[in-house]
Amino acid sequence: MSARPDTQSLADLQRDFQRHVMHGHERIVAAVDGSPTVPATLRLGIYSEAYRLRLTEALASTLPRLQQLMGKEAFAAVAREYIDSYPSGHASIRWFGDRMPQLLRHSFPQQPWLAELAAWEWSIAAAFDGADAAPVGIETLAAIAPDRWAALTFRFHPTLQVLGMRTNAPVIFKALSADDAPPECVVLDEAQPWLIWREGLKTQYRSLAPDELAALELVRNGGSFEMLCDALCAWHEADAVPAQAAGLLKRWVVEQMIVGVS
Amino acid sequence: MTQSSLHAALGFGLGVRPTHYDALLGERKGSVSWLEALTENYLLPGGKPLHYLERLRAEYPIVLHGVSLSIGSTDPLNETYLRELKALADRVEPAWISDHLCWTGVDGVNLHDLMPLPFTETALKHVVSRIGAVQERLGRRLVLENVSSYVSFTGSEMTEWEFLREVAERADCHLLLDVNNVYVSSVNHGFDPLTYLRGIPVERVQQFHLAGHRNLGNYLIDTHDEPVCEAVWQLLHAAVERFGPLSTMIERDDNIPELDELLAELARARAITASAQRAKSAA
Repeated sequence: MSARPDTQSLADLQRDFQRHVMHGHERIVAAVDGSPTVPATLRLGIYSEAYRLRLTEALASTLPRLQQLMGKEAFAAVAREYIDSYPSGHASIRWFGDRMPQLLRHSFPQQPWLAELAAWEWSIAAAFDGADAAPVGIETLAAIAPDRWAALTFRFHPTLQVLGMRTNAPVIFKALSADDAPPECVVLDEAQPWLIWREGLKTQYRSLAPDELAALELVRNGGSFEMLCDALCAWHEADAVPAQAAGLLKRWVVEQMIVGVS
Repeated sequence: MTQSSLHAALGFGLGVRPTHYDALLGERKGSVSWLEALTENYLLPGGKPLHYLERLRAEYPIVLHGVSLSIGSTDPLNETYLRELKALADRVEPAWISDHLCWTGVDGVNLHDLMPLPFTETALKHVVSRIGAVQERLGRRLVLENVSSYVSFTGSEMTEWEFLREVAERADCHLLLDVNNVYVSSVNHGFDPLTYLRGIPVERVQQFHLAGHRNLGNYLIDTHDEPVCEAVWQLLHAAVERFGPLSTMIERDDNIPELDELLAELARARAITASAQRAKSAA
């Protein structure tokens, strides 16, 4: 291990202590003072109990709607499984829980909305405290000379994420967030694309129509305004395309998704 | 080292919590002299937490208080964490940076708790060398806090206060004396908290923490979810008599009340500090 020989005894003690906290291993007990009223095992138990409690609370705070949907007891059981399967290596407890969708997909294959709700909440949280970027105003677009438009490319806000959802998890999320009864959990016939981003300090989300999804993916990957227009021809009559393209761009600007034009 | 190396006392402050952001920037602006921000809550790319931290920083001195430095761990120092902490400090320009005299995990695991160290010469040397490395990296002295503990180790070779003193003097760092933690540990381990205070070098203590705990009958648990208890107020009085009127703040991490309730507790800290100062000058 990394410890120098002179700290080996300290490293061993810490490892034994950690094994007790995480797995209940007993070797550390002999190295701990007990008292008649508070024996060593009870003292050590305070740490192991607090460990599970604290991490369960951390998961509940990042995935509050998942906890609401599952109920506290079922959520606590999943949290226990998660804590044992994926111990935290993060400096900040904020990032603990990143593999919850994975665990839920595996443990609840018949309820895919659980994994999707976890992934959704994780993405919402990522937008909440994701990187900042100043949005481009509509006046910036208006000031661009007409002959430059065809080659224009756009940069999107760093918090912008597109998620293809195969269940109605976002709708469940919305209802639970508003303290409404959630709709029945369902698997969709085909994946529904959703958009998550942050507008100023406010986390936003909405569903995407197929034409907007294609347009967005193209432009996010560096496609120009001209390429956007070409792509929209698959959905709209040629003479309606310029207005459609301009309409999409305007919407993205108004919703503060665009942070750079070049 | 002389007392002048300590940062001037900031007065009475609170641990800043998101539920109080608006009040601290609005109707209760200036109700505290300074704020302590939990480092890890702001090691983020952007968004609301950093937005508010910067607005608060414009109004108040801020101290960064971390929980993941793991200064006592036998794992290598977490370089990513140190880099992020340094970047946050460059952005916030805190009055000082504090963390805990403990370890939080080994083998790459973070238990997200403040685990106790054995008070041995080996642990002492290890911690002192790591503090030196961190202080060099951050370009400033660290302020390290005594933790509440529920176990002591049979292999310990000195008392906790001897260990703290040795750490502070050998590593040339400062101390954050958590008065509640002294009290909690004194009950859990059966020592006299006043003996503890007397063992801590006056010129090393930068700050006091106050908090509430849970009494489980035969032992106490440091929960930060209740008001400061009478015994801890009394211990604060003794601490001010010994260490003077240092930067003092209340930590509340759970069951967080309205800001005014914490301000009322802080008023009590102010009154006790004044009373202890009078007692000291009369003596």
